Formats: sequence, structure tokens, C-alpha cells
Amino acid sequence: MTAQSVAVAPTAIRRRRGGMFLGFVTVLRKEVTEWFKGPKALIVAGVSVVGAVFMTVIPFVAKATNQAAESGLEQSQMYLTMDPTANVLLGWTGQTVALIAVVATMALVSTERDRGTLAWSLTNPVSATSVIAAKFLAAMLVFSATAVILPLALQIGLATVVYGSVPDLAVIGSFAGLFLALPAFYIALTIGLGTAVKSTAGVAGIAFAVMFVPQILGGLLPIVNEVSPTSIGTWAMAVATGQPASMLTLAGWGVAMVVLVVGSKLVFDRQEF
Amino acid sequence: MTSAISMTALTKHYKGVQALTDLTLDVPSGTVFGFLGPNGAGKTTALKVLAGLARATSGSATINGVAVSAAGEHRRELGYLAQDPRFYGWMTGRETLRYVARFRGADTDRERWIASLLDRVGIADAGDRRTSTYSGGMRQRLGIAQALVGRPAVVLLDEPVSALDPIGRKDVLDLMRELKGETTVFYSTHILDDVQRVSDHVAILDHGRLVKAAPTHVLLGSFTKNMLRVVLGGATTDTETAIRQLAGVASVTVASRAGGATSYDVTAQTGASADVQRTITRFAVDAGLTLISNSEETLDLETVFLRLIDQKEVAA
Repeated sequence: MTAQSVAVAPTAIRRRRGGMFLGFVTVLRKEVTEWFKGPKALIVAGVSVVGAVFMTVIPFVAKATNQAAESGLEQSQMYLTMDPTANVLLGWTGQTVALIAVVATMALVSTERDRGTLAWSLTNPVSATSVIAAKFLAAMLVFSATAVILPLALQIGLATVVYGSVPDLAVIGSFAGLFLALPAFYIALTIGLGTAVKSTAGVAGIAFAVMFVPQILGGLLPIVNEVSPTSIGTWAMAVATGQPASMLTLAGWGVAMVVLVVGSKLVFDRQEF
Repeated sequence: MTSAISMTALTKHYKGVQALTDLTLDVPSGTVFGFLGPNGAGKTTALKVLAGLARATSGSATINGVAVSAAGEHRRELGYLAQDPRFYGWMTGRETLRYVARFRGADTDRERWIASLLDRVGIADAGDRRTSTYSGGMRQRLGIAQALVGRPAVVLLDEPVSALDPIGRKDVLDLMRELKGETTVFYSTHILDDVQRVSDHVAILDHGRLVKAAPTHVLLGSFTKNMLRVVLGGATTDTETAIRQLAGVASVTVASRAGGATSYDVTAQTGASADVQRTITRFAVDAGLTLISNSEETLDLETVFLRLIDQKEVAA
């Protein structure tokens, strides 16, 4: 260390506004950077793109290799259609995106808590709400771009080439917008769980239970599927493609999001480090 | 002098543990304030409450006049170094300081200030290395830099030299000394020698309760007031009685005997310390004894600390 004087006395520092979102922008910036500093964003993008592209070309490949005829799939209009729009949307009703969302975000809070960096961040002028909100928004931005927008964009290009015409961009655009509600729910779920459950395994276990239990119960009691926020992806597909869609699903999603947001804030505000 | 930190009846109760009990303490602005106590005394808990990482069960505190609250506004006024500082491993030291600085708002001189801080804590060469490659000592140094980067009115340091080697320890103590008057440094430690070297105020905590708080020289003085350490050569068993009978002497005890020298702890009556010193000098000459030493008693902080805190508790 040098013998220079340490002029710590306050100088002209322009202070930002505080309140509930004190320090939000700084944490958001850090969170987004962190996604791209490691391989996480790349892995999410890679898995999502490979899965989506694979689904888009299935009908084309099946037809080209005559496997469809051999396996009798030609009777299924859904799988054999050469409609580029239908083939772009093919596969988006499954649980792949939900699975990727849970795996990619299940450690967002717990890892930071274990490493002590969460406590360190909170010694700065930042509110607990800002930390949680910034984690959610950063995860949503990155996940939306890498797991939804990028694969859809590539699927559109691919479908145009493979099926010979441009897909209906209005349908796909409205689907993409509505479908973001699905990762929003799962990211809010894992972050919300992370504020209350200390282990990453615990967060993952509960999130997977939330993902699959309504499906199992829905087999016995269809209303469970209808009101479950986990059905929001199917709902988005139905709305975008002009199929009948239950507003109960949207209501269930809305209630779940409010519970998660308010619950996360209340729990995290009471945390000690 | 205004208070940089003010704690009023601060109480913290964990499950089955009373970590702090009615802690009331004012830390004057611009001082280097040592917060002492044995392990488990509640020092870290008090610092965490001030930083907003833990909530007091009751009582209140202010940092530079801003109430400590969950909202975190008071953290604009402070920099904090944890006992075992942790940073994002993917950030470099410089990026870490930048991250902390951004919380404090737009500082036009930010980059120069960050560079000077890296230099001052001795990790300028490692400033562009990822913190995941830092040793414990380097993390501690970076921790001190990040506590200062917002130019806070108050710096809270939890055991700032505990992970450092002797050179690092000296560097940090020098830095803390430099900070005197620039900002208020409130730090916990159990290394009493360090406190005596750099702190102008001390508070001693035991079992969550404040035992004593005072300027360091006053605290040390209060234990040595009217006390003399007299060392005589050629003394006999009667010498102690003879000294006790001298004018102005309140009490005498034999502190040690080594070789031909005997040490006495002499307590003078209030205000008679100088007279007793002269009387003892004359007594030694008259009695044909060799006066080896006749000076005011000086106690180190460790002795004072141990006197204030039951040694059994410290050992436990």
C-alpha cells in the first residue's frame, strides 16, 4: 500500500433515486452480464434451438424418407402437414421449455446464498426487492431471447426454406408473445422458491412437482389442468391459432404470478444473512 | 462531536440465543473505533444489524443520521467488510469495485478512484484478474477497497486483519490510521494490540452486553490512575511495610521478585501520585536500596480487557 492520503470524504457523487427499487439497475446489469459470462446462456440457446429445429423438420424428414408412410403417420394431419406455420409451432406445446427454464434458473438464488455473494450484494445500497426483481427480469430477458425468440426465428427461416413459403408471422408473433407467460411462471417459481428453500435440489424438486403433478391430477380431474398455470403454454398456442381457450387458465396463471411475486418479496424481506 | 453511528437499546435474539442485549453506543464521527469482545460476544451480530443483514429484535440504530432499515437507504452511508468476504468469481477486482461504485450513483472520477484504491490496498497488479484466483489475503484487501469505494461516511469492518499475514496486517492498520478524520471506521477484532495501535475509541462487548466504551487513553488511564510500578534492588520483607507507611500511599503489593530486584505495585491516594513518587525516591536513598524504576504504571489493553472480562469466559 502506498502512503498516499485516502480521500474518502464524500465528493460529487450523483445519487440515484431509492425506494423499493433501490439499486435495481445495477443488479440487473450484473445479472444479465453473469448469464453471458458463463456457458449458461449458450447451453440454453443450444438446447432450445436444436430441439425446436428438430421438431420443425420432422414432417419434412419423415416424408422425405418415407418413414411416415411405413409407420402409418400419414393419417395424422398434424404430423404430416407441410404447412410452414404449423411446423414452426410443432413441439412448442410440450414441457421442454418449462424443463429448460427450471434447470437454468433453479440455482439463481440458492447458489448466491451459499457462496455469500447475496449477503455481500445486500451490504450495498440495494433493496431486497431490487435483487429479486432484477434476477427475474434478467432471467426473463435472456431466456426469452435464447430459448424462445432465437429458436422461433431460426424455425421461421428453416420452415421457409424447407416448406417453400413464409410462415404466418402474425400467428407466430402472437404465439411468441403469449408463450412468454410460460417461462415467466417457471422463472418466478424457481426464484420464489429460492427465497424460501435453501438448497438448489429442494428448489428443483418442488418446481418439477409443480410441473408434473397438475398433469397427473388433470387426468383424473380435467379442471385441474384448466386452472393450472402450467397449462399457460397450451393456452397460448390455442389463442394464437384461433382454437378454443379457457380464460380460467389465464386467471390461474395470473393468480399464481401474484402469489409468487408477493410471496417472494415478503419472504425475502424477512431473510437474514 | 456528532455520532456517525448511534445504537439505542439494540437487542437481537436468535433461536435460543441472546446475541445482543440493550446495546446502546455512540460512535463519534471521524474516529477509528475498535469493537472488542471474546468469540461469541455479539460483535459480528451488531455489525450485521448495522449493515442491514440482520434485523434487531428491538431497539434502533442510525448510520450518519439515517435510520437502519430493511429498505437499505442507510447503506448509502456505509461501506462494509464481512469477516470472510466473498465476491463474484467471474468479476475482476476492478469490475468488483465498479459494481459496488455503481450502487452509489454516478461518480465522474470513478475509474481513477478505483485505480487508486486498488493501489492503496496493494492489489493493483491483480486488479484485472478474476477474483476467483485471489488468495484469502487478496480478497480481504479487495474487501477493504470495496468498503471504501463509495466514499462512505462510515466503514464497518468485521475482523479486517484476521486473514492477513503480518505485512498485510501492518498495511491495513496503516490504512485505517490514514482514514482517521476522513471517515469513521468501526471495526471488530480480538487482536488487542492492533486496537491499541490504531483506535482512538474502544468498546468492549461480552455476552451481547456492553461492558465498557471510552476513548482508548481514558480507558487505559482509568486502570492505571494513581498506580506506580516501583522496582527496588536489595529490598527485604520489611520493605513492603515500610513503603505502605509512607505519606500518600494507599496500598502496596509485591508484583514480582526476580534476582535481587523486587517489583511493587504502589497505589497512591487520589492526587498524590507525584508526591508519592518523590517520597519513594527519598525512601530508597535513605534505606540504602537501589532504585531501579519508579514510574507510573502502564497497562496494555490486553490486561485491561482481561480485567473487564472474566478470564473463564474468555477461555471458554
